[in-house]
Amino acid sequence: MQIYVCVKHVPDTAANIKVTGDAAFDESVKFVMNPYDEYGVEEAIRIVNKNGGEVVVVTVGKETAVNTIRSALAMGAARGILVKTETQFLDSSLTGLALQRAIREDGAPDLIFTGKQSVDSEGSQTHYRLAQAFDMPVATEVVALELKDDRAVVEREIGGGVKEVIEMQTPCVIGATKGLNEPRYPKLPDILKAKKKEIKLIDMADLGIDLSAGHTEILELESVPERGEAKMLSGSPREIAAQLVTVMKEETVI
Amino acid sequence: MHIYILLKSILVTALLIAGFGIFTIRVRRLFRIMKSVKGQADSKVDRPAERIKVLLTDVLGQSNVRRKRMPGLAHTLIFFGFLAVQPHSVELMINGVCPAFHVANIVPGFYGVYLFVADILAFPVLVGLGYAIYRRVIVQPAYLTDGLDARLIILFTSVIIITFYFINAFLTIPSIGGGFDYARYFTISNLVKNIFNLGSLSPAGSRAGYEIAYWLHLLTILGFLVYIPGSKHLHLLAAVPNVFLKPLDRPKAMIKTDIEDEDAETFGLGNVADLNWKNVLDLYACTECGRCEEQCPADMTGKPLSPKRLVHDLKLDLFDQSAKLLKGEFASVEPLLRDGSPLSDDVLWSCTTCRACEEICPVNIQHLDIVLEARKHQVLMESNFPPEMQETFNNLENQSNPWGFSSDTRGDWCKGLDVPLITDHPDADILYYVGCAGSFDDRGIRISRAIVNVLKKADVDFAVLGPEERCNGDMARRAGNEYLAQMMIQEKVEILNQYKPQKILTGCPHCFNTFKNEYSEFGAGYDVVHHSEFLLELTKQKRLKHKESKFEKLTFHDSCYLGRWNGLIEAPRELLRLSGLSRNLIELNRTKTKGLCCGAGGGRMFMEENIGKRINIERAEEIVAAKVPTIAAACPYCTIMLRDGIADLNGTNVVYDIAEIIDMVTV
Amino acid sequence: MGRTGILLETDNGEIKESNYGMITAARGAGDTEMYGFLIGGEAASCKEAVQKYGICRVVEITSDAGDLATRPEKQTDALIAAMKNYDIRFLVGLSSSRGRDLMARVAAKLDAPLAVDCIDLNLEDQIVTKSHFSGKTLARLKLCGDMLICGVRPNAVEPQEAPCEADAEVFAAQVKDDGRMVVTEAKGSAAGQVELTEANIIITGGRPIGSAENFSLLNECANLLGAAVGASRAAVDAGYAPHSMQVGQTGKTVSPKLYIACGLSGSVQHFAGMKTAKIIVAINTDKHAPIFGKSDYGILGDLFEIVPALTEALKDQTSQ
Repeated sequence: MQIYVCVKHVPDTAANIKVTGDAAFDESVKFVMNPYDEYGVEEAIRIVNKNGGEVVVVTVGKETAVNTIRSALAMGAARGILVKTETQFLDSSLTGLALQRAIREDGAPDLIFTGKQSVDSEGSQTHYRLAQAFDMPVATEVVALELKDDRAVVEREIGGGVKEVIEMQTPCVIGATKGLNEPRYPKLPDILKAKKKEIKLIDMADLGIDLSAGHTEILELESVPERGEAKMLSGSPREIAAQLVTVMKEETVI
Repeated sequence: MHIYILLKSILVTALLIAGFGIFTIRVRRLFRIMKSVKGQADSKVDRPAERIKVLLTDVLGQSNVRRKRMPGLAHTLIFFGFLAVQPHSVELMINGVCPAFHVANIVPGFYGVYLFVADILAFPVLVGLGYAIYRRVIVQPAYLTDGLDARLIILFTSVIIITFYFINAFLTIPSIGGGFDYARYFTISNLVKNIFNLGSLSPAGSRAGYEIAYWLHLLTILGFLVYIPGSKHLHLLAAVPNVFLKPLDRPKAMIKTDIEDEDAETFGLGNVADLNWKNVLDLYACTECGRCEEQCPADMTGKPLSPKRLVHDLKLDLFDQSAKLLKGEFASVEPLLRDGSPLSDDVLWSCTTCRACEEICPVNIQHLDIVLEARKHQVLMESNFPPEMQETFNNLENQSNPWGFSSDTRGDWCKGLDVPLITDHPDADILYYVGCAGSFDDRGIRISRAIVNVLKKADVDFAVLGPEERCNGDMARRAGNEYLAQMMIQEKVEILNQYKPQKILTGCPHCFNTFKNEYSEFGAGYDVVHHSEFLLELTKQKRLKHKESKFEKLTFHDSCYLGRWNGLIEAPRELLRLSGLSRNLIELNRTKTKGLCCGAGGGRMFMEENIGKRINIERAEEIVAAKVPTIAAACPYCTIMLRDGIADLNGTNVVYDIAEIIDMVTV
Repeated sequence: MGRTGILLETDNGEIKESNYGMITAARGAGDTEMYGFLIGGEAASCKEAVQKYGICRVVEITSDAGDLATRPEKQTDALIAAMKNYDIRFLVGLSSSRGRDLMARVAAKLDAPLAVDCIDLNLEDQIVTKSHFSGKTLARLKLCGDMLICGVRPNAVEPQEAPCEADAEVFAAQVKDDGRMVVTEAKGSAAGQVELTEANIIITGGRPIGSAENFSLLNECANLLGAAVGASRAAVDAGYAPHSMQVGQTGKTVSPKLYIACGLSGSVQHFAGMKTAKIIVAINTDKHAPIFGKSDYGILGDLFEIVPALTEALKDQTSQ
């Protein structure tokens, strides 16, 4: 099987984000693989371990995104492709198109994984645009996957404890999320081997993509201010409860 | 009669050749197994004079064994008595082959004195063995192995001593002893003769009696000789070299694995072939005395880990697969952790690396060398470790602290305290390395702030790294993630070498231990001091002004990485005494080198404890029962674990770090 | 300005409350005509509710080729057909699981810009505000093009009435179904559970809850408040609650009016999932718990005493 996994190199969610200008932030913080993408990489590797084939990991990003590709290679992906950009944020339709062209140029996908969203821009749409470009069906927030002959049967969480079961024809695009699997911790020999695996570097221009054709532009980033110290309610539990109810009424919650 | 003597000579010769021959073959095989393993040992015979002194005090003086009073005494009696009897047995063997040989003919005076001494020393052996039987049959402590092996050894030894006395008793009869006046030198053997009325036997009867005793004696000795290499009595051979080769210094570093080695097929201890010869010698030297098990915090709280059983099971595994090792068939050696093996994940991961086992072992077995190397293999080669550690490893890698707080905020703990950063003050006398717990944990932060208060009171010129500080990799290393740890150490080494601090002050024994004992191997060997010893120095230099303390009874809980790992036992106590608290200071039962671990070491702070009783509860129970209102600790993890344990028991005892106490009793 | 299409969401045929805030956000200064689109649900019975907020036409989208609910791609085509038919320039919906999915499909097919999880909309200037970096920053985005699609975070905008008279009609979309994607079943119980991401009030239990059974304490209180019950990561990891209840960085992001945190220490990871809550009340026995530095009201107490007391107080309240 030929499986492609789309990953993104993003700031660690634990990192503090310092806004340094209108739409810029301090990029010296620690960057990691987008957590949701890890589930995609893990699932792809499990499938290929069972059925044979290779996992190719693709990303659109700055050259530092090579580190995220290496993480995926250490988990067991065979090769990586990096489509180089100048900025961390790129319009989703351009990203989707770039991914599709890079993949198409490389091989014929049987399955494509992405994460359900990135933790930095949180657009939640790149995989739809990618699927549209490939004319493939797509499902997101996938927590379970079973492959049958020409179909993928997935379960997706839609909230309230309800899961939808969807059957899609393959090849298809799957947006992975937490619960799909437990991503492996790479073994040292695999980490060492990953340093030697191939990473293809491509320019956006090589894919014939017009960077000015994007629809979305970030005008401004603004830090969200932290809350201050809490106002403490005191007294017996009954007294506190009464105070709480008053607060709720004042805030028109009840 | 002459025919008998001739036959005896031939038979004894044959048996001696066979007995010693088999013994030699078996011992040689043990040697070959020791040489067949692939691991590299860095054991050197350095400081030979010191080592010889160790042999004299530990082996001859039995000082290590006698740390457990009664069994130690029993062992000493058996040791000396048995040694005393050996020359006599050798004479008997030679005499069996060559009937004309008698030492009495050569050096009668010396011989007489020897007989007198041996005869007296042999009796306490029986007393000692009697005590051993009493312990196994009546007392039956859980940590003491009472199997066939133990009982056979007791049996063999008893028979050898008893037949010794009977032989001697018969030798006092002139027709058997010849011209030498044996009776003159014997005390107990004479008693035996009288009690059993051996003098009233006919000449043929006494000759028969003597020969029976002789054969029993010879066969038992030869049988024992052949039995030793396969039993735990192997310690007779292995203990002396193991003690000779023991690490002479208490502090030790973890083994630095070469993770860049592209040709390495494996890392750490994955199967018995990965052992090194020193590990194997450790396994051979084990007497299964169980003292390590008795001290082990994991075993005493119901975990499947017992250091004694670990050594025993590993030794059995080694012997079971020795054929493959000797043939060089390393590929077919089965892994340590496999189906059906008593060595399980829980055995490995229950260890808190407290070193109580190594501390108490009478033959200086280095149990941790095995546990920590086995962990390395599981993490690096198998990715097999407690799943909750994956998040911790990722946090350490990404934000340089186990909880995953933003590394940007590492300097926030000292907000409002006016603490100089080393970038602003690079020539500071002291670089105060705060550590992860001290920077991010609420309880740890209070300790760091107390340390700063005291440093300022004493007008110490110090600075901190602030947001530049990084975790030193200790927890990752103890949890087997050598790759991550070395990456973190390299990063930290670069930062330290950039500032070249004159002295590093640490608030945590884990940080202290790794900087002091492990960082020089990575190129950053700086002068390191723990805050308890530094505050003691300040106190001795009279740089702190004391006031009345409001403390009542107070005890000091020894941190494993301070006490057992680095010998810092008296310094914190002296600090408390010199700070006006000598009247209040008491000791818990399990204290100093026998102090009970809090349960957080070995990375266990970040692992779930689901088996048996929680170790911190075990320690908290002792504290609550001792009714001591204040406990002084010198480690943020100990403070947190003890506080939580006491809280779970609804205790009212309060845990303070020693720096907080000093802060409270100074102006 | 151009016509705005509102993607209405229903629950058992009734319009979900969270729609109203979204409609208000879409309405903006009020210069646009708003059409409500319903897929599954009756236009006639829903128009009363939505016309209060300014929707002047409710269109029920149907298709002859069977149930749209189980055919996401057909649903997309049907909605696009309706949008074309009614000349829709802006499509606004709820940033719920279903809403995000449908809007993304439409955006991809039309190659139109899409912003989900918006907390503020300015359709006239084509500028939206949404979270970036898991709630640590807000980003103001400019969406360029003739057609825009926006998903609004539930409860992020206060609903404001703007009553008008609405017609109801049915639009039968002519769409084909190639059958390559089918929803075959919906597993699990939706009955009675308020969806976490859309709830106005949320009560969350942390590790001190101690067992799955003890969540009943929170459930009882939640029922009286019409609230959803969430769980911290520690509680989920300990097996006291399923992952679908987890609030936080690796769980659900919520934006309720009121968030009651019971036995939570206030970790960064958890906060990432609920920091935009309007009011945060923290109950904890540890006076040094970080959460007290990040909430609006704090109660130093045991949740096992406070929560039942609150339940009693609410019962008294409703009986008055």
